[in-house]
Amino acid sequence: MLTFLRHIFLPHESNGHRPKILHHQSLAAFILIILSILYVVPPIQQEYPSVLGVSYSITVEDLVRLTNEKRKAAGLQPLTLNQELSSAARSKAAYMFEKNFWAHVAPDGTTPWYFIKNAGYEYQYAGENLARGFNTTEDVTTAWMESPTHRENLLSPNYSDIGFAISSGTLTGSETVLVVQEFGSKYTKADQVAAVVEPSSAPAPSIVTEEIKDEISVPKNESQSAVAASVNKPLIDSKSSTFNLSIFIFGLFIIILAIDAIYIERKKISRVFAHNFDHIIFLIIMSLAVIIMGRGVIL
Amino acid sequence: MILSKIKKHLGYYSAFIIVQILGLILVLMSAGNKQLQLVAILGTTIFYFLFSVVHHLLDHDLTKKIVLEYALMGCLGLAGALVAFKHI
Repeated sequence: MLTFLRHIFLPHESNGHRPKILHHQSLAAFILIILSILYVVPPIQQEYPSVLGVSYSITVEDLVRLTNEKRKAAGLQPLTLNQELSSAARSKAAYMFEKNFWAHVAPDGTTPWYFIKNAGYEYQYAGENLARGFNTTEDVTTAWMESPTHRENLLSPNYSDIGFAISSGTLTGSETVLVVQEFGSKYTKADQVAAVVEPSSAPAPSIVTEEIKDEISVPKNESQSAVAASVNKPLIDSKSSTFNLSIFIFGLFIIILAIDAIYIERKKISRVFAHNFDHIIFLIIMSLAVIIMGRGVIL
Repeated sequence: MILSKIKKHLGYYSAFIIVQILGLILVLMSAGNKQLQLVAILGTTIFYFLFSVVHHLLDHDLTKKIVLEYALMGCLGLAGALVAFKHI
């Protein structure tokens, strides 16, 4: 067994003083195995979502609780969970999945305010925060609090209501969990007498009041973007497993290439193809890219 | 041996590392824009392959095995990143 492992992972006479795993055939086999994952995982995910899927634990209750905890700490009034705003958030999430965009304003120009007003919420102030790729409620809230513009929405005294949608699906080519947070406050009778309109240049995340443009029906794609259970715990989490697999493969090759480089340096072995330094740099860059992509993003 | 090789080709390695880091910065800067991140990863991989091959060509030591080694390592890096890209 040890001989076999040495043959695979360490330079030795048996493998021509180059680990077998670094031979061209082995590299080609590794590439094929990795690429096959791209084709094997999606059908399994579709057929057996309880076995393989995106695992997350984000609940509306926790999002409301954490948001209000932050507001309380800032000396502000808590926000009330509003069904109309939650409906607007669900429509926005569905629209994002259907039109495959990650933005506050859709490519066709549909703004967040359209969804809010279409849900029957007549707002004086409204705002929107978005998040994708997070696994827990704490991570989402922390990311929003660390961004000045999102934090401004969370801690705005102008809002009295809040609504959420948590949806999973494929967005811009990646399996993801999307969180839409809509803020608002309704007109009071006094406000209707003398409303002050302060249009904003950026649609969100910012405090705005804006008139709604022409009515457009909100398309829905239930199969793709129906509001999912806010807690999803499949047997195997596709996100963390593919992330760990990539990092493991890169790490394995970086270590083996480094050992090989040290070995040929010490033994003064001359090789036609042994560009370990280039490969190590390239694989480190790829590992860091995967780590960067693995982080959730907010908008 | 490796250190002397790096010293001998310091210009090549410096440019190689700088462009690789620039590719990584583009991935970082385009957080949220998955398509742009994919382009950055693809560009970094293509650069890694072409720059290395051209370097060996100019150095008059380019062989089919060297081209194959860079191509395979480039594919390995790209495949690993693609799997992660698709699912994270």
